[in-house]
Amino acid sequence: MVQAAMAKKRRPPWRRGEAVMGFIYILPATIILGVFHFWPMFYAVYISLHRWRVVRQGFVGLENYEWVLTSPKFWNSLKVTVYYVVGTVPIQLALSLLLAYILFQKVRGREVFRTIYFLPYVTSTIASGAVFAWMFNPNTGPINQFLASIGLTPQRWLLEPRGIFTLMGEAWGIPWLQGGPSLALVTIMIFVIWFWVGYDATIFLAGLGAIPYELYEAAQIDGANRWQQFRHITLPLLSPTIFFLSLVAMIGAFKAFNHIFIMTEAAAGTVGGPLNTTTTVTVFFFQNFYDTPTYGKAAAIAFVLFIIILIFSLLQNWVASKRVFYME
Amino acid sequence: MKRYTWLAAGLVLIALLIAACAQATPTPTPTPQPAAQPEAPMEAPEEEMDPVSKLDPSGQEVLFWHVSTRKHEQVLMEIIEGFNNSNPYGIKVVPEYAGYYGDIYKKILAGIAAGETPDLAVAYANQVAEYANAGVIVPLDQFINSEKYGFTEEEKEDFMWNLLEGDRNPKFGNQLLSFAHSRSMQVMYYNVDWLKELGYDEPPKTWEEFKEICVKATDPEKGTFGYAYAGGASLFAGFLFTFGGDIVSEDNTKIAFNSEAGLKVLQLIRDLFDSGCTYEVAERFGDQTDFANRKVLFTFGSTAGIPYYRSAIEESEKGPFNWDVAAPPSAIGKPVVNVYGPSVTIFKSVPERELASWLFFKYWAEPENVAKWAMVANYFPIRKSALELPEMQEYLQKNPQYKKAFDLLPYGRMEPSVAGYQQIRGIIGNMMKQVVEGMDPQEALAAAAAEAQSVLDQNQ
Amino acid sequence: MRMTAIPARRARVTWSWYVRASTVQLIMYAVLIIGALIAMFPFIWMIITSFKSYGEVASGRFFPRELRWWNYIEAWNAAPFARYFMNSIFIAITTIVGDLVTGVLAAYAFARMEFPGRDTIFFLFLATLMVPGELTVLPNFLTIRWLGWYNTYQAQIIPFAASVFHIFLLRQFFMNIPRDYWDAALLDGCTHFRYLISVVVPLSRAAIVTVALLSFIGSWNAFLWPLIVTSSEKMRPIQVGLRSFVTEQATQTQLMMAAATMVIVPIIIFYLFTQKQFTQGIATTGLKG
Repeated sequence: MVQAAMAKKRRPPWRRGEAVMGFIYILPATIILGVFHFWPMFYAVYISLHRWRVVRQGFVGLENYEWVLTSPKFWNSLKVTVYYVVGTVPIQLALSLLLAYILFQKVRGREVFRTIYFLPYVTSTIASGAVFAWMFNPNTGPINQFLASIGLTPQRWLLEPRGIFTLMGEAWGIPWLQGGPSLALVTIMIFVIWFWVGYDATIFLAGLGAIPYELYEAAQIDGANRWQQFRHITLPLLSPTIFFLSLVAMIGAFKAFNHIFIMTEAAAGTVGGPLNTTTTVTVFFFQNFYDTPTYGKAAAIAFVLFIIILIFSLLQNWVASKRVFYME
Repeated sequence: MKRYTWLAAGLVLIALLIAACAQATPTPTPTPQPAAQPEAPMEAPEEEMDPVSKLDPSGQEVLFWHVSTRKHEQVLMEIIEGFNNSNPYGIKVVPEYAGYYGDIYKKILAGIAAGETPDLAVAYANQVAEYANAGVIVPLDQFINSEKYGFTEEEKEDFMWNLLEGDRNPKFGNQLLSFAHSRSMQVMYYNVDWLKELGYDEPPKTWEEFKEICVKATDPEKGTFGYAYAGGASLFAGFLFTFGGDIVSEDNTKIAFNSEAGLKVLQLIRDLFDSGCTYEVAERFGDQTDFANRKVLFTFGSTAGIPYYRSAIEESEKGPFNWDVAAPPSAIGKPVVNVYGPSVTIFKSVPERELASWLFFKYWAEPENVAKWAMVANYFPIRKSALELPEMQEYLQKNPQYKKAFDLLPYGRMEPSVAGYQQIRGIIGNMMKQVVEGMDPQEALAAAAAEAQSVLDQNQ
Repeated sequence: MRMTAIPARRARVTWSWYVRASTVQLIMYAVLIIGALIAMFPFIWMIITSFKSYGEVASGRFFPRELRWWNYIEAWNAAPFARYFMNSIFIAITTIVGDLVTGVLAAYAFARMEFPGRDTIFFLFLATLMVPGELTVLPNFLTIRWLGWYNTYQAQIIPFAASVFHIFLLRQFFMNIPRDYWDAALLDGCTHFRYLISVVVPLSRAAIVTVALLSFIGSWNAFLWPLIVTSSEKMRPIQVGLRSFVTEQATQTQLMMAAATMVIVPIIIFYLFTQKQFTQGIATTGLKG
């Protein structure tokens, strides 16, 4: 958007020939997206205005939206989702940038490392979800065995509905420390971070590769140290990638479902358990879409979520428009 | 940036307007079938000769969506081929694998909306109730009672109808909406050797005794427990039945588990945890693993798991031991077991094709076929006469635990077939967890019942 | 050449510098190796489990007593995997081609061309990312039936032959190509299309390979949609085969892991293969070319 604004100042908004070409270029993508993404969205809006249990039963106006916004379950799921987003996105980006940055140095076996970091993304979540459930098993899992061996209290992990701050407060005797995401949700967050770090690092690496190293050479001649180079060259030039990945991570976090399903069904016996502390908005959507196929309500949940994501994206976009730097 | 905010607001507004207009005009969108909501029971007129017997199913081809893979699929194919080759009407059953239970359900839901359903499909009874509400299911009583194509009185005697209790739906005149050829049940697994060491020759018959033994088996030093608790609605239902309770009322419209019996179940769970003789299982089949490794004396699980328990015990690090299954302890003086398993249902098409589907059910229900079908999954055939078959006798010989469970079939009860039951199961699971976490059983019970009732109310 | 090249330019390598550099190196490798172990662990577990017997899985033994490689044969024979593989490869390759063609064209237009409503359309594209995919299943199924594409390959390809996410990714990269190049090309009388093919695409090889890989993984892992729009085994992809290992009572974990390993091998091969392109892409994306 920055350069769009600049372009406007430079010359007339657009030339006729280029405008026509522009539309031709986006046409194939637009047709496919229009048919398989836009049309379903409008259709879903239509569904959300009806009483719709598997089949359409009657127009109800905004009743489904009213139901969503007055449902305590929805607000609980929104709280869980916010915990989830705040707890995963920044950590995931920081870790992956660290790894990518190290890898981008002259590191021996870089390709081997990069391949390994990408493994979580390609391993089936059926397998990795099962492994995490096993690792965090309160009775027999290696994590608790490790904690016990260094003198810490073993935890119940995926079975623990109490908030981590409550647990900390109890452990350290601080009564005002209360609430927070449940330890079960934190366990899922650990899985999510594990899953995405390699993927993010791969994209970061591609981003780092796109930075012309003449810039570093020039900086070196000017006597900039490593941190200064990182701060003044790498970060600004990587900002489109950071923006991109944070947006993707955030949207992904809002839409997260599969691994929550796999990990909580296996451990707690109920999807979104224990005690709904891992019921994100998407899990709530699924309960209303499949467990009881009330499509009207489910579609209304999806659109409320859509508007929330939209607001967050716009916020992020606004921040980015001040911070993101595109090379011209 | 401002532009985007306006754009976003505009986008939402336009979308809502378009959708609202679409309603006002005669809908140009693909309209799914109107929701048939039969309020009155659909009963066949009794006077004249039954209409089904007048139909001719010759030459029909029926599409069957199933969930079976590997050896289950092989047996299913044998049965289908047997039918296709032997039926005098030239009916052809075409099988199609449609994914696992959750997947086939999603596929059918999409299919109902698009008007593309199979003729036959595998489904759980509560899913069938959902399909029936959408008006796409054919009740089976007309076929069963058909003079020409139904069962004879003698055959009817042979079926254990209590194993099909869950396929009957009060909302549709208590008719049979689906049919099952085999069932499994929830039993108590126990370590015979360990029980003897503790001084008991018999598994516990009452819950008091159960608790007493559990406490004795628990040893924090050795890390052993009496019982491995794997919460969930089926466990609750199984326990509830042993206290004489019900999940929902007879007519499926009222929640019934918030009763004396329901409270006793939750108190039992609370007591077991308070006494320290049980722990929560944290993985699927984690209780089976712990049982095989002699960490726990009792577990509750499906009889379909018997072969898996056996191989886990045989290959256990701690060496094999004697084990067996029994009915869960009971508070009402006689055993009760929770019977479950998937069913098969017929979708509306044309009467001839529906009949053709039924004839396949009927063939599948022949003693040899139900026996074959039951054995591959370690399920139980729903016909008594299947037991007399030599292959079944041989199977019983080889599987002593299976034989023992077989005798419990007459005590079988089923969970209700009500639409939205999947959500109610979630609510029940949540309630159990609340009690495990220390919430007052009475309070948890009341809250869960109210929430579950609101799910049932949506069905009206 | 890159940052570690700094010391080489200095006149003298002092002892204290050497110690500090070694410590930094040590920490770097420690971080990398610990990260690698954590990342690899479930993958290793999966492979080890695939060689166990059922009893070994159930008894919680970590290493199998013997390598039951025949688990793989059993898994392979349990479903028509050969056919599934061919289907998945065909679907994946055509999806990648379609995705790249639509993606590169659209991303270029969004990044470099001026036309009315450009940013608005791009924003609308992005908005579709925010809707849960499940919600689109029902209307899309109706569309597929209306098009007469039920039980075909195109039903599994065309809906994925354009991705907002990938357009976004490509656009980000295209925008980082210096504008001076285009101005220079314009002076030579270069058209947009020639500029795109001969300058932008070669310079963005890293991004294109990344998109191809992501597209491949997405296509390869698709499960629910293919199941809904197909009816015959002949049309179905690999994940349907993998799914057939979930049996009702006990998950046959060892067979499932054998099948899962078989299924992810192509992704890893594809990744290893593109890795070279990747590195090369990064190395040659310098401005000297």
